[in-house]
Amino acid sequence: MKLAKYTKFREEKFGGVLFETRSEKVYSLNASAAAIVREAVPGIGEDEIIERVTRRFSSPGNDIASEARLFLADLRQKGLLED
Amino acid sequence: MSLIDHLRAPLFLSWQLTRECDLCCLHCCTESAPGKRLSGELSRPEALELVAEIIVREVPYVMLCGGEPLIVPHFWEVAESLGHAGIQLKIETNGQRLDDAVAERMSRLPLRSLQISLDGATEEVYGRQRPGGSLGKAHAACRAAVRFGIPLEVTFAPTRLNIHESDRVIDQAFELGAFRFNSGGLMRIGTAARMWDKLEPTEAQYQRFRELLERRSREFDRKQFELCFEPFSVQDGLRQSLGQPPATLLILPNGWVKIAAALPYVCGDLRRDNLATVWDVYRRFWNGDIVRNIAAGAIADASLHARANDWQSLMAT
Repeated sequence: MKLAKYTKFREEKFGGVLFETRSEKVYSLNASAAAIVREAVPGIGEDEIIERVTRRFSSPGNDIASEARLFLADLRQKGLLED
Repeated sequence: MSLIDHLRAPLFLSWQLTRECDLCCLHCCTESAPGKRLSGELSRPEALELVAEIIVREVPYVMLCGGEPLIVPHFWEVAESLGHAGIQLKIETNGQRLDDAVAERMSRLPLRSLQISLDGATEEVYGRQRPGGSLGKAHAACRAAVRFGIPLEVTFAPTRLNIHESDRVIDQAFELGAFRFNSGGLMRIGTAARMWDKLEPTEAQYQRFRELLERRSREFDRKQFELCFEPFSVQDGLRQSLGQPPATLLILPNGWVKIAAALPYVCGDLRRDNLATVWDVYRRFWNGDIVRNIAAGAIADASLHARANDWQSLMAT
């Protein structure tokens, strides 16, 4: 999984932005969302992204893995990430 | 607070490399033409210094335009330095110099798109609106771009001279392999403002044109080919900017930075100030009453757009 061809990611103090240059649409990301996208930038498998994010952010009672999977699916559906 | 208040740098730079052009289009909003190079345009070292700063500031997307950017001697150095840093590029050209060799070299850049103007469906009409230009060359440039896998956009500036050919230009853009056809109302800026009485389409022509754009946009699968014509007018664009100021800096050939294309006001000088400083000033102005009042004035009175190239520093206000 990696950023789609026309998607750029930049980290910001509040988290980050995804910028889809074809449509020139900007998506603001909070710190957790930006952390997930940051893992996807080098182009690794979805399971590995989830594993890394879980390792960093997991806490009791917090199902970070399912939330991250849903978030990645949403980004893929919007065409911001691709396999 | 707007999005721009939270961003550490612009997301998009529209960089006019020069005023020099090999055509003298009647509708040109930058007043570019042969021999119109500004005396104070950024030199090669200055342009490359700006490139380095754009890279450091992680601006993700830059448009190179003019004038005609391909006649700037350091065009390739600028484009390739930005491209090697992974910055996505859009290049706007008239296509008169774009052959297979140029297209092949461009295809190695991370191009978001190449935009070529097709302001007519016949040589006669195209040549009347773009004196010195050849529609055949522009079409050949489109074909070369597509042959080398470059995403192609076509732009069409409607005037009283060419609006009757707009339907055929849409067909040609599609047949040439463009992924997008861009248009909108003619901007009353620059040369177009001086020629306004001869160029401005009539209300009836505009109405038919909008109906055509709406009808034809329904014919195509947007994933394959789309017609973009919103915001249609400069006023619509300014209204959008008032709601959400764009994370965009418009860099003039001399390094000055404009607050918006349709407004004459300059909020920085990249020869003197760094990009971070200019970005701060730009944001401050969009949050203040001065720019908001100026923009509101330009929305209320379109004739004010004609002064967009009489640059004035906002710093003095």
